[in-house]
Amino acid sequence: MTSSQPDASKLYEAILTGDAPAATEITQAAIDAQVDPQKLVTEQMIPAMDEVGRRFEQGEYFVPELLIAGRAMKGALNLLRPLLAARGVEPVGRVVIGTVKGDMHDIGKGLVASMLEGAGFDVIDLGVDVPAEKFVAQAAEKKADIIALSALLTTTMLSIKDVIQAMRKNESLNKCKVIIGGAPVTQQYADTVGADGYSSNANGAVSLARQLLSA
Amino acid sequence: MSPHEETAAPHRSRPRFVESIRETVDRSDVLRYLGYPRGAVPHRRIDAIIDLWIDASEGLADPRAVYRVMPILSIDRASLRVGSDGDDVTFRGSIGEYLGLSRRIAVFVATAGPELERKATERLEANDDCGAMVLSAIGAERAEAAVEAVQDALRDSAIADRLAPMPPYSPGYCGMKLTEQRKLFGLVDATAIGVTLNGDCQMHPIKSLSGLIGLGPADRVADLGSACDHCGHTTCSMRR
Repeated sequence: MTSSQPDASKLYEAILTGDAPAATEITQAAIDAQVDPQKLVTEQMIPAMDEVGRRFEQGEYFVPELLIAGRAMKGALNLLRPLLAARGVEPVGRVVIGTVKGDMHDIGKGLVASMLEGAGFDVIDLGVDVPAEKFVAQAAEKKADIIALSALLTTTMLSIKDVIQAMRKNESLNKCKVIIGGAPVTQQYADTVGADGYSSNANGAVSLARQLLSA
Repeated sequence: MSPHEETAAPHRSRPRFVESIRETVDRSDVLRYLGYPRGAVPHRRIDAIIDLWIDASEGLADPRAVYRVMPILSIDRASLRVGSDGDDVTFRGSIGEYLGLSRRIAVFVATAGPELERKATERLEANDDCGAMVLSAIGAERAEAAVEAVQDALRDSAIADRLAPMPPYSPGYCGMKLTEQRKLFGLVDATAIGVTLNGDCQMHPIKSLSGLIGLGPADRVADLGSACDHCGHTTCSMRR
């Protein structure tokens, strides 16, 4: 690093502590100084989110800390994304995510989306109250590797099954995996409805997504 | 005292609105709703966000509650019949386990009001998930404060009869189907406090609570402990 270049390691710290304005400012400065965007992602951002995940697993961080770290990371990533695309950098994988039909809960799904983005996935967030047909159509169109489904109510978790049934009928999604989560969802329910994986938390969802794509 | 004797107290069946709800937000409860276990310290940046929205919540929260004390016509392990003959409602669930000691039943609906929810949605749309989550936690705390006020009012009114309120038992929990909400909403006019029920039996505003509170013999209710004492999820972050 020359003296005129910004200290990119501060990006790691900004994401780790959820300082979104600092993360954006440091990233912009790094872009202006021609720092390799891929290096920023692989050497600062992904390790920072991995450390956030580790602290969550250790009970040092809780969901709010994950949320502010995810927001800081997202701000930085928004600046880098066009540069990465221009260089032809491929994401780790592509995930279509949403909260199932009838369910308006956004925060848990948003957290998983942020953590996946932080881990280098390209995430297409369909929002809340998403019908099965939309999940399938978007996953097919975007050539998704994974569909991630969230439900927070015992009444709406039944819609998870509808999505899985609809996607299994679509041949273009033969290789696409489904992961599910949300307060009432369990591994047993995941097994029953034929999901490829279940996680009880956002950090676990990232590990699960990585594991499914490496299998 | 048999449950039937209670039918001789029609004044107890009038809907009542809670007037005195604690105004100060209980920060430790907000932390609990945010998932922090007892003793855990949030990052200073989270602390600042919590303080910001607790301060703002003074102008956003509008906690209210309505309840109605009903005579019990019959009660057994799985069902509870309240009201009067010819105008009765039967609730089904794990009645014996949660309301078995009851001599009367209070049916209640409580809410934090709509503004906290509106602000939380606004923060979500601004990609401020953490602010939205904190507002949601404050909403949960405010709705709980309204239920506490119902319990306080019940305690005060039942003390002369040596009765005391038991922990609330709500549709959607512990063996009572969510569809029992419809019966409950048929007994209290929740629209008077701005709460409505949709076709899926979900309440609006979301930060609303409904349920049944049994009034049982004070000496025996004291031994019951809190609802958490009866729950098997011993590592739950919501545990009191």
